[in-house]
Amino acid sequence: MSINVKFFAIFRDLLGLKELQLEAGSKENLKLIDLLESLFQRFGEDFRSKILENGNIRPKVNIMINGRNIKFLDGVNSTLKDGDIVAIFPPVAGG
Amino acid sequence: MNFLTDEENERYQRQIVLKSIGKEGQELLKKSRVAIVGLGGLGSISAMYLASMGVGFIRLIDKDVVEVSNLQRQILYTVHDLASPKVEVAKSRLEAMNPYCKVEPLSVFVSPKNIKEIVEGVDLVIDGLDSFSSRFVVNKACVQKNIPYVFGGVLGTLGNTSTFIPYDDSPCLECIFSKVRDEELETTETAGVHPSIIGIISCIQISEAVRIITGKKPLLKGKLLFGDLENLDFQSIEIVKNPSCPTCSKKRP
Repeated sequence: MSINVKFFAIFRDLLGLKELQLEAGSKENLKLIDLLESLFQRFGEDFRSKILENGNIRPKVNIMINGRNIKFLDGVNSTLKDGDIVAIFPPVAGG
Repeated sequence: MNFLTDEENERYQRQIVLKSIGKEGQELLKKSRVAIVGLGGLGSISAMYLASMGVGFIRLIDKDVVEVSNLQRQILYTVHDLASPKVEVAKSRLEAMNPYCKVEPLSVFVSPKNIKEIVEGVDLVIDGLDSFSSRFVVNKACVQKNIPYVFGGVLGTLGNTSTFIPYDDSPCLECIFSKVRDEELETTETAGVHPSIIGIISCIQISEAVRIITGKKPLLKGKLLFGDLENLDFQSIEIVKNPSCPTCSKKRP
């Protein structure tokens, strides 16, 4: 199973890359949190602290799966399937 | 009434020759009515270009007065305008730039109480606001009234923009940024903002607005575009309507 993860703004700066193709084996019921944990293992605790706060997605972080906000799915427990695109970006509000 | 005078034909000649605008597009611009919510960095540029290009009616919405810290990026204003209401300064500047554009100033904060008046009778709304809470108010009204809403937001060297078309089953702002709380976010006051990214994002908004007015398909419908001056990499992601969005889900095209 392969998931495309796209990073924008501070997340791109932090990791030094704009996207990543993650191979997740053949695990069934892969959840977003599983994918995030593998990213944290790879990129360290600083990245974790930028994404999660008490186990929840921080308010400054927007995550979409195939263009759908995970707040309307099952949050960090949203299920992923082969070929999904995950985008991680901050809300940008200035005018 | 909406046909162009000789003077208008001369004034707009450089864009009338464009295949994507033409005489017919120019007449549609003249007939069009646009609201610009927020007259800061983004709104300044949208207002000047849309007035110059010949939009017939522009409603400007902003409660603020001009401050010295605005002048680095809000290019509608000068030192002579300090402490004056932005909408009044903008009206005289825009009408001097193009007397064919009628400008209506509304010196109010966007709120659920006045949003009906703000969007009344306009063909589209251009975003120049600086908070999600006020954008959600505008977005909701646009969804209810079937008015296209061209979103833009900037911070630091980063910008993002999208075009929401309520009558075409595209997502709305709330589908994408639901539950974002302004108090959790950085502002241009704390994080700064580079005027270049304001220019880029607002000019994309203008291009989208002109496409909508002239009957072309907006290119950012169903897409959220990001741009960052630090890498000059512009990338968009697909965005889709959320079936459970509290603002647009009960509405069907």
